[in-house]
Amino acid sequence: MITSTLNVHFHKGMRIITVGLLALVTLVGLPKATSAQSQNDGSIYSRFGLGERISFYSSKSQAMGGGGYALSSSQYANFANPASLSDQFLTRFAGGFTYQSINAQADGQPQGTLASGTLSGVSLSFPLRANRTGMGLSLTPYTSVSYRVDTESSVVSDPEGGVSIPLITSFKGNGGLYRFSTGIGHRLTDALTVGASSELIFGILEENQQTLFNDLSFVDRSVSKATRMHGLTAKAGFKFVVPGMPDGKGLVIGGTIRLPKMMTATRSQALVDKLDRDTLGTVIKGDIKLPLELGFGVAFQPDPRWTLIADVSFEGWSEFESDFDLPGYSTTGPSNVSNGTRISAGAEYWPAARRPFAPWSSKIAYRIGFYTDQSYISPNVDENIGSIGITGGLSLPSLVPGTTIDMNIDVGRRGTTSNGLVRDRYIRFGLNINFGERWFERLPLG
Amino acid sequence: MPGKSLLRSSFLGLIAIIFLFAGCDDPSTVGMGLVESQAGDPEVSTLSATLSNSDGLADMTGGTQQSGAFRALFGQVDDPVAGPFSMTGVMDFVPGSDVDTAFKVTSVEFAELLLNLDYVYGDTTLDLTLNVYEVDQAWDAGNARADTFIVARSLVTTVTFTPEPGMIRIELPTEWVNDHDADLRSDSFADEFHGFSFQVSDGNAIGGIHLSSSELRASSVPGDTVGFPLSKVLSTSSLQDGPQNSDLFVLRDGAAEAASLNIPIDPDLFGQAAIHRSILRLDVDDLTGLYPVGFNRPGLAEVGLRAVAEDNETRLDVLEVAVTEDGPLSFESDALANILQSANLGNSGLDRFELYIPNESSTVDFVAIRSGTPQNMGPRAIITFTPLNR
Repeated sequence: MITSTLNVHFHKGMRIITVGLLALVTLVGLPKATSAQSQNDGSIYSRFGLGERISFYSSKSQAMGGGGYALSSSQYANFANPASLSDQFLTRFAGGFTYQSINAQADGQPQGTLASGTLSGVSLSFPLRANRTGMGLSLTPYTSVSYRVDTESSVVSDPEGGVSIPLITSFKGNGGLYRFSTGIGHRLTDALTVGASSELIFGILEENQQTLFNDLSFVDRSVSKATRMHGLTAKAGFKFVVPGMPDGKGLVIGGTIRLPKMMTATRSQALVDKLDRDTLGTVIKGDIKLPLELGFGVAFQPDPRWTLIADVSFEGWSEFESDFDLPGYSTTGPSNVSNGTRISAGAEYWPAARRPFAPWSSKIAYRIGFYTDQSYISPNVDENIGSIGITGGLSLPSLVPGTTIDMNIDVGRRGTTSNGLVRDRYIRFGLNINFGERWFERLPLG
Repeated sequence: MPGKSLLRSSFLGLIAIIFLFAGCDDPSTVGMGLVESQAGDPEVSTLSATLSNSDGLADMTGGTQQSGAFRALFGQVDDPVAGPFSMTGVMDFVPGSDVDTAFKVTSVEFAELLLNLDYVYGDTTLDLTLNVYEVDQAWDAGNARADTFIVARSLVTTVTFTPEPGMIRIELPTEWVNDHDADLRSDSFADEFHGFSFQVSDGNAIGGIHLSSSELRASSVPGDTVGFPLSKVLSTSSLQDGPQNSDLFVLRDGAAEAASLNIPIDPDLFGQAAIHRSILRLDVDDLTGLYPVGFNRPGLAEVGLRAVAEDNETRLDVLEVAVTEDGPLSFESDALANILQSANLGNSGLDRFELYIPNESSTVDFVAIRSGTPQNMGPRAIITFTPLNR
């Protein structure tokens, strides 16, 4: 046992507790804080299929376009590729949230502005053998359902009185799937690293239609359709350091595969008010099949201060199967599901690379990236929904060595206004905290 | 330290930006064509409610100093609208604090009833002839109802008086006093004596004796008079007639406990729906002009609505509303909407509703509710709902 050969330093205790408490606050507090603000003010496209696909592997990769299959870093646990978990010599906890504002436009309608906050992810990783074998656990969103469309109307509620009562019918969606990943990475040789992870995917997709009266004489009620699902799948990855690069330069290629998985699901419909929830009908059971995922990336370091990455991913959603009708997917008729692809690239400039005693300002890392993707599902069979965006971020070192606060930004657009669809212009802000500390140290033997 | 300052500034800057955007939330109809309705548009439907005589319990008309009814009602009346109705008032007394040893050592010479008549319904121009009977057996006022049978065969006295509010003095015959001399001075008076029953043989009014300020008074020697305060009352009814006019439904206090009210909210007729508002409206007829001069008809203060479960025992009071002269009875509350909602979904076990007159009224007042369909202003439930797409 590794722990039997290591001793915990008592003077680290308080710092561990502090980190633990901060982790707890992040785990428990941030989602609540963000969800309290808003749960269903995202893109209308998140209504379709299993929701809007989200990939958050680390705050570093997020700021560099969102890829990172070949990205190596001892400062971040990179969950894009389980092989990258080998690159660790510190125990790390990372967590953060993303806040987004969307400006939605459609032909002939006034534009809407929506804002919402979500958990970006939390992770814990640690080396089993420094820079050789590492483990990691992460909880990140896999899909997100978050939308709201309001329409105003009125009703003459008391025909004998004749007064017209205004009301709002609010179509809302919330929830999504989360991915709890447990992975291990191991460096087989100086050039080849492999890794594998198991991924529990679970969550609830909820659609609500709420009728709201600004009048205490009325009871606001909503009809809610909830689809719960869960399933366990596996992912494998590799990284290969291309040999023969000149001194100071490095080239790495990496790839992952995640196997298709049939998830167990249930669906129910309920009538909900502020005090009660009545299930309508019976709970229906079924299966939903998640598709194969492939990822491939390259990372290049022209010198230690610069890191350039490029990635492409493929998701075989054309093989998607579900026992339930989903928005954009019909069990009996035509469906608007197609394979999803994503291409991204990014760069990082870190002036203090290999300069541990550089001034604080030189330790700030600057990141930029872009991405374009093709969604796996569309409201309209004649239109594919794509996104394009640019990303950026700053990584600010803290007074605690190995710990950074990362601030990211993502500006992009998605969709089109043709064929009755919607164009979203969005801006996202991410705030992530990345703790790193040596928790276990081998005592000098004298 | 500049680094620390920059860190703090950056963090605060990000927070400021987040709050700036948080204030911009302005959802619109954008994407309306991309959502799918789980329910239709809100609608309003007026359902015909059916009001009928309940075949259930009689009204609770028993009461004590502590709880329940506070009047003993007696008399008979032929109401131009509600028809004939009669009540028998039963009352019992307990020794007062002044019934002491000095009173008990000397024979009782004189006894009378001093009664606080504070309620009159009916023709006040005709005298009432009142027969006072002695109750033959013990009876319980707690939770006693109007159909309780009380045995009272011994006529004590007959008096005639004008039915007007005020104190009524009824002198009890010497024979009765002599017969009850021992009882009046006994420590077990409450066990030996069970009270009086008041039945009217002539007249056209119903009176009510209030529990307070009413007593049986007895004297042993001149100047030594003690009181036996009224301790419990009960009003029994021999008739529980329905309305005399088919266009009106009479809901009378002191008769049946409640009237049944059915609202066809079940899904077979109405469809499953999200119910947002429910108004139960009952038009009360204006009876002005139907009564002769001198006919006193006190107005009913409140009418209540309650839900009755299928077990016919579980009852839930929903709402009590005031009766006004110039407006309908309108029952509207979240509770009513929620009960109808559960019934609509088949989850509640609701059997029916009942209209009732709160116990604390202790009258024979009534309200005349217009019958018929909603088109002719009969009982109706106005439901605002969203039909479910299922």
